[in-house]
Amino acid sequence: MLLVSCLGCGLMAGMADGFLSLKNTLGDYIRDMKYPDAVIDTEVTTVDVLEELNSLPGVEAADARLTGNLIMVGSDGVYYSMQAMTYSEEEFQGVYYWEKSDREAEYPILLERRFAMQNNISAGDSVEIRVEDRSWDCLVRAVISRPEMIAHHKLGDITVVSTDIGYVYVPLELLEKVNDPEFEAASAEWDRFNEEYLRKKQDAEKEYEKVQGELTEAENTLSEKKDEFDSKLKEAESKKEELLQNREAVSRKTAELELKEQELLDKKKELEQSEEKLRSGEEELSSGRDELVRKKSELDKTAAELEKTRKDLEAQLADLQKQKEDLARKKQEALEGQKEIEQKLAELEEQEAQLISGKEELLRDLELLKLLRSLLEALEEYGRSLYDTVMLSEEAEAVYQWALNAVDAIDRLIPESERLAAVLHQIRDGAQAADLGLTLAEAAALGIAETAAQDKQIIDLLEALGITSDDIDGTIAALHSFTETMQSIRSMIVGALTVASDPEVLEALRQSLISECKEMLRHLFKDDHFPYSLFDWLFGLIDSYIRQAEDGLAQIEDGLSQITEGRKLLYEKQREVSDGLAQIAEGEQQIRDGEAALKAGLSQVEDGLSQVKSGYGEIDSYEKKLRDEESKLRSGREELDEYNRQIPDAEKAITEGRDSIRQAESDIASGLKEIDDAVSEGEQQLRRGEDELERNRSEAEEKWQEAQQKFKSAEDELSKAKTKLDEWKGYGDHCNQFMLRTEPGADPEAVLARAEELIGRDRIKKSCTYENSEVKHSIDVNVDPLEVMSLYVPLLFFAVALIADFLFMSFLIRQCRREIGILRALGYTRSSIVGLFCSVNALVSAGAIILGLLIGFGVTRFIGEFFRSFFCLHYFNYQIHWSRLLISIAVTFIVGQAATILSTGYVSRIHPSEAMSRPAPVSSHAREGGLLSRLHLPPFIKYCISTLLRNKKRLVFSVICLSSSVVLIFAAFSFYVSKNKILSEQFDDRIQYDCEIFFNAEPDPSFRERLAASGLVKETEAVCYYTKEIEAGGAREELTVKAIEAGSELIGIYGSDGSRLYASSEGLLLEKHTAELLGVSEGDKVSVGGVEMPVAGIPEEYENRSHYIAAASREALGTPVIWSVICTVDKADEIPLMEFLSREKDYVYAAFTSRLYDGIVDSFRAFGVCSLIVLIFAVVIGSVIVINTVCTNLQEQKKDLCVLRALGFQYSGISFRLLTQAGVYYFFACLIGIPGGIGVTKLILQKLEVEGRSYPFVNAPSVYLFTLLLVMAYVIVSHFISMRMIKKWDLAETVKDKE
Amino acid sequence: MENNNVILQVRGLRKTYGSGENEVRALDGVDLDICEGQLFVILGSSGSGKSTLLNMIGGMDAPSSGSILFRGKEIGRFKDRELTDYRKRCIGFVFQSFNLIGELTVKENVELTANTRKDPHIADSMLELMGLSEKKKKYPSQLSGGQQQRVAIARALAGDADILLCDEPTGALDFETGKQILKQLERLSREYHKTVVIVTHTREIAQMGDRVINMKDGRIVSSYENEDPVPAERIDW
Repeated sequence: MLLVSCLGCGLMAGMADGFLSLKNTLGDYIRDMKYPDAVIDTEVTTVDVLEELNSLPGVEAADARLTGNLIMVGSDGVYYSMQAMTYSEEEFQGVYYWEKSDREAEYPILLERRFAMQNNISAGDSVEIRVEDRSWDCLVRAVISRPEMIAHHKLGDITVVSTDIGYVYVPLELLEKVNDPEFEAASAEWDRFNEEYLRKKQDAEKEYEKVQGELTEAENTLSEKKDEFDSKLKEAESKKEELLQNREAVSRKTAELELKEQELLDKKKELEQSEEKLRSGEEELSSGRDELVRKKSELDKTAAELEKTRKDLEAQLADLQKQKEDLARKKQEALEGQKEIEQKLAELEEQEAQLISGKEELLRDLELLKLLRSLLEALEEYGRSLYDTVMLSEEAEAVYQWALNAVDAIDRLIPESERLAAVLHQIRDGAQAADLGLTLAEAAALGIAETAAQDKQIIDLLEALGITSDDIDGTIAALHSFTETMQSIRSMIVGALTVASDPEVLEALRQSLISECKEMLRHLFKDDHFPYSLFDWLFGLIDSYIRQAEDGLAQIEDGLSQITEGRKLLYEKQREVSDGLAQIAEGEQQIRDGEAALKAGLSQVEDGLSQVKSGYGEIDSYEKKLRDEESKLRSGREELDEYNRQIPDAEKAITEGRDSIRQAESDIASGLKEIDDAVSEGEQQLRRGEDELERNRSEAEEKWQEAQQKFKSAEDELSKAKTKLDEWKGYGDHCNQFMLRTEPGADPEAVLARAEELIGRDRIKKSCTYENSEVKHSIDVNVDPLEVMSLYVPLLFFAVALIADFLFMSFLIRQCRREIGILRALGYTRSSIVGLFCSVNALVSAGAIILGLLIGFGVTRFIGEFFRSFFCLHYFNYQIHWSRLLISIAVTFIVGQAATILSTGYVSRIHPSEAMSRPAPVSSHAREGGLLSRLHLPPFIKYCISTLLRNKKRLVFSVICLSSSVVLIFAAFSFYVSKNKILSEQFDDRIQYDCEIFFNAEPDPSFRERLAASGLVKETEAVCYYTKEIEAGGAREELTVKAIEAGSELIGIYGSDGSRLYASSEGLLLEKHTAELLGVSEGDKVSVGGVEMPVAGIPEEYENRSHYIAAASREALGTPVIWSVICTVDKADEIPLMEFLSREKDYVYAAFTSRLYDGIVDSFRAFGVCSLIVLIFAVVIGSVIVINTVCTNLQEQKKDLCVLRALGFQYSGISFRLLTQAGVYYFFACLIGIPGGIGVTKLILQKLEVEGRSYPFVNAPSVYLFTLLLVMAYVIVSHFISMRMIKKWDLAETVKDKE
Repeated sequence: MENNNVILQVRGLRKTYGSGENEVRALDGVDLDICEGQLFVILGSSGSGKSTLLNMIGGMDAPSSGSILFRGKEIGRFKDRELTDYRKRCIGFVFQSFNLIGELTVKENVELTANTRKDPHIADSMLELMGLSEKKKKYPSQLSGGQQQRVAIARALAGDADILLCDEPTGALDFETGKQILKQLERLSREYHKTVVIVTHTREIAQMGDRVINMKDGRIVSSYENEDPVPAERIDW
């Protein structure tokens, strides 16, 4: 955890600072070493000006050079494209010489060592310097290294010295041309001519303007006249129009008059008819009014009657309502009475039934009682004889006989006794029934007043019976006892009889029987007396019961007859109530009928009243109508009177109208004639004026054309003179450039302004400070992504390290579950435990942070040193981004503490007893057994799978850690490959030729044949360059268009989708960014130098915005600016090719080999190096995380693994288990990590995008393969480490340890 | 006891830790014979070297000197693979702290050592023998200490081990549960004729052994044959 934390923190700080330092150092370096603070492109370069510039305030140093490449031709004829810089003697003294020549020469030049060495040029060699068609023989004075350009770096044991390349240092005199007096004179002459030409041109333009003014004036006058004529003409036309309209109006008026006359006659007739109608209407109105008065009086009478009727009806209705209520009350009473009678009848029936059943029971009881009495009599007789026998007989035979008789008697007596008991039961039931009857009778007595006396009798009867249930129960018990005694006697007698055959036994039995019988009888009858009193009591009791039963029967009969009487009375009352109810129903019906009749009457009255009301309404409306009709009649009469008055006036007006029409017709005819005459005269005048103006205009135009011709010829002459002058000056498109290095703190803009003033602004073509230069922009484009990388790449590393840190910390604390449980058991509070762990973590974090910072500084220095030597920088500015550093420290600390607090808090919440025991796997709570348990797999395989899947915490922890590594490695490698892919696919494929030979005139067609025949080149193609203005939809850009051969294979042009595009005669291949700038898409038309052509395709470009047409379309675009031939060539043939080309110098303008493109490739080197560093760190961090994860897992499983070993599992089995586990983690990690890595890479590449350069994500299989293999290698290495650790474990000790 | 019944012979067994003045002698010349089917008890207080002796016998630790012969084969000469195989096939361990695998169910724990090729239902049989058939789908953490120890015994038996080495099998258990475990071990010895070696510091438990050795400071201070072993049922400690 310490390692991961410190790596995260350290790398965040170190890498970020390293990249940032590189970005700043590179920027500074490029600026300091290669680019001046300000540059001025000018036509003049003189020693004087240079000296003056050097002495300008704020200028530290000024230098001069020739812009564009010059050609240096070596003594062997090889062409070199060079950049020329001037040097002075003072500078020469400070230069480090590798070689020096003492030879004297007019133009001694200096070459840089690497260039000289690479091209086998030595000091003292003669070379030729060419700028366009001028050349100078020069001497290589020395091979040098400029001290500020030198960089030393170690390569193995050798110290390598690098210098900048591509510069030739020439004396200023070589480039100084403007102080040539002839050139100055010629230039002055040209200036004079130019001035005269401009003056003459101005005069001519003034004269032309004057004539133009006069013509314009005449034109204006004519125009005014014409306008005047037009207005008059318009006026006349409107007048004519008016007259014509008047004529039409007169005709219309005449027709109108005639019409009115006819109308007047019609009106007269109508008036007469109306008079008639009016009179008849007045009569009708009078009769209607009378009728209306009569009807109104009738209605008043009807209304009064109806009102009276209504009041009567309402009173009747109220009476009826009262009657209805009375009837309802009576009906209710009758119904209640009826209900009461029915209830009483039911009660009577019930009482009757009870009395009948009581009667039956009494009859049955009476019968039983009688039977009982006869039994008692028999019993008494038997008892008496038994008593007599026992008491009196001593003889066995007699006894024996007696016994037999006794048995018979008992046999008879027992059922009789039982029957008697049953009868007594019935008696008791009868008494209860009598009680019930009493209750019922009481109930009946409550209901019927008439049966009260009967109830009384019943009660008296029951009281008279005097039977209590206690008495009966006692009797029953005595009888039962008697029965049992009899049974035992019988059994004894029967027993005795069975042994009676033996005389001895018989005798003994007799004696015994006698004594027993005596005893029993004594016991039964007490004091040896027969129980006459008992029998008397029983007889008395039964007799009294019999009497009571007979009395009861008589009373029941009486009650029944009374009930029948009562029922009759009730039936009578019921009938009366029914009659009453029928009468009430009839009354109700009558009331309902009456009510309906009254309501109908009332509604008729209401109808009548409403009819009366509507009658009143009708009368009112009739009255109103009558009034309206009257007013109409009145107004009709007034109107009629008015018409009668108007008719004579109308007749008079018609006569006057006829006269005025006649007069107007004659006026109109004369007006029309006048207008026609005036118009024809005006037209003639206007035509004359126009003819005159036209004549004047054509004269002026002719004169102006003549002047233009003269201007043109003068301009041509001047242009020719200027061209001659420029040619004479000797640089054409090349120009000299002053480079200024400002003093520290000086404002480059101010210094530049002063320098421009010194040189003369009219002599300056272009100037800029470094900050505004394209160079700065280009450097920024290359260097800015480093800043992006300095943020995002370390951030990725940091994020991964933090995730791992968090997980490791959480995991480790959860491993301390038992210890935390013990602390809790010992009484530590949760907060104190959290505090304890936080303190430990704080110490670890502090250590990690300090260690991390040391690593970070080390990483920064390592990266810095690496960059310094890689880019040949002679210094490297180590910069520390303090804010990022502090943030990374704080975040590392916070994440560690957060993990501690969360995990400790969680674990300390577990109950101590549970915490101290081994936790059950999570899945056990979810499902016992499960699918795995049911599968028939070898136990160890099952074990491998179950330990893998059931410990989900371990699984999640491991998968997240491993997938973080996968993300990291994948992103780093993908980034690296994407960069390479851009370079190889997009750049290298585009430029597939090795050499380009330029011409300033169209080369002889035989050149390519000769070139091919030389055998030095393989393929050749011709290319023409145009500089044209491309216009589309108002937007325009001046661009270079290359005409290439259709189907060119040496120039690869690719579309945005990666497909190859070929130039064809169908149109222009317009580079993507330019197309965006112009707002055109494929198929749109653009104008290329005035030639309309469609956009045939939009290629993707990276470095140069090139546009292509097919060579077949060349004719339309005219003469090219540059011609070139591109070819492929073996590296070995480069020098012979240059020799060959040197012989073709009449044609060759310049030639470059592919080496020159190395510069462009260099722009990717920075990213290459950075991405390589990122990759190295990713590999390191990834390995740390993977190994750490595996070892943490191993530690967690230590006990289990030792137990397995103790149980006899071989290392191979353990290894298999760990490998299975690692394989599954690896699988899931790749599944999650690779998409994560793709996302991260795309994000970083997107952030790196700068203007004109994008970094598309390259989906290369090698990235996947590399990532998969690398992570697999980590897993395998970790596995071997694990196995080594396992072998070192003390089995016995580990197994003995408790959890 | 006949010599040909001896399953394990220990001769002059020594184990030292550290060297010079710091040398600690865990075992100092131990000689003993364990016969087949015997219930052998190693008695001794803490630090007497009894567990070290058991680990040596179980092939979990290597002696400094002396020899251990299992059925006449010197296990000290075994290579790691052979020694592991010896633990697997010949020895069944019953630990004081059970040492069951928490992620495995009871049955899976027993199956770990079971030779399922020979008898696919061996794990079920052993669990039935230990009265744990109903618990076979549970996880160890869902069982009581006694049940866990019975699972451990079932696991030790499932591999058809020749010797059952029980290191303080009742150490982590209460009296009643401990007694149950001892009864199971006694039953294995008496009914199934398993060789059971029990390490204990409880003198009363030693009474159930056929043979008892008493250890002190890495030496055997006394050794006796128990003519009348006390049944586990009657042991009270």
